[in-house]
Amino acid sequence: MIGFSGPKIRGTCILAASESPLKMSDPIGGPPRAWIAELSNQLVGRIKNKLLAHGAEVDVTTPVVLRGELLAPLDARNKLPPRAFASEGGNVFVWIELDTDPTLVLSLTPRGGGRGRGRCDDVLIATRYGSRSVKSPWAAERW
Amino acid sequence: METLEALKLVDKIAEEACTSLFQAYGVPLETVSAAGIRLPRR
Repeated sequence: MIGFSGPKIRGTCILAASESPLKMSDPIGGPPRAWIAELSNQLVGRIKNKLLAHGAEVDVTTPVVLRGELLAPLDARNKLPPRAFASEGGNVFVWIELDTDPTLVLSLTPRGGGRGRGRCDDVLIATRYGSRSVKSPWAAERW
Repeated sequence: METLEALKLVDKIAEEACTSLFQAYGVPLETVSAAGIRLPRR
């Protein structure tokens, strides 16, 4: 579980997974708690980059990990069920909780190509001359 | 923008981001209905 907040928007992203997809995705076979924390950090990093293209800039908190059974969002989440995914041997769930100011404006279509904008698999580098986006060699290797 | 409208947008972004994240680690994910999933009992 990891939080994000910015002007007129704040929320929480919950990433839940059963054991199998966690183990299969972990390249070093470390503790599951550490790995799902890392995955949630990367997930919200990707969401953050995409939100930039929609006009919202958010900061991200450090992840918090908990183990539990039958975790479920309340109906207060506007009746939107969690995003559910099936993988070999288990399931993955993602759900977002969001609070927004009524004056928040998000563009429904992403703006691309602008200075400082990145794709979800890019690394954003801030320098004294501004920010730019470069393709991550690690991402290229993975893709 | 209303919260629900923003939530739907961020929700869609999260779905794509989660799929691509696990794919990057070699685990393909298939989007399914949460209602149809039965969690394993201990």
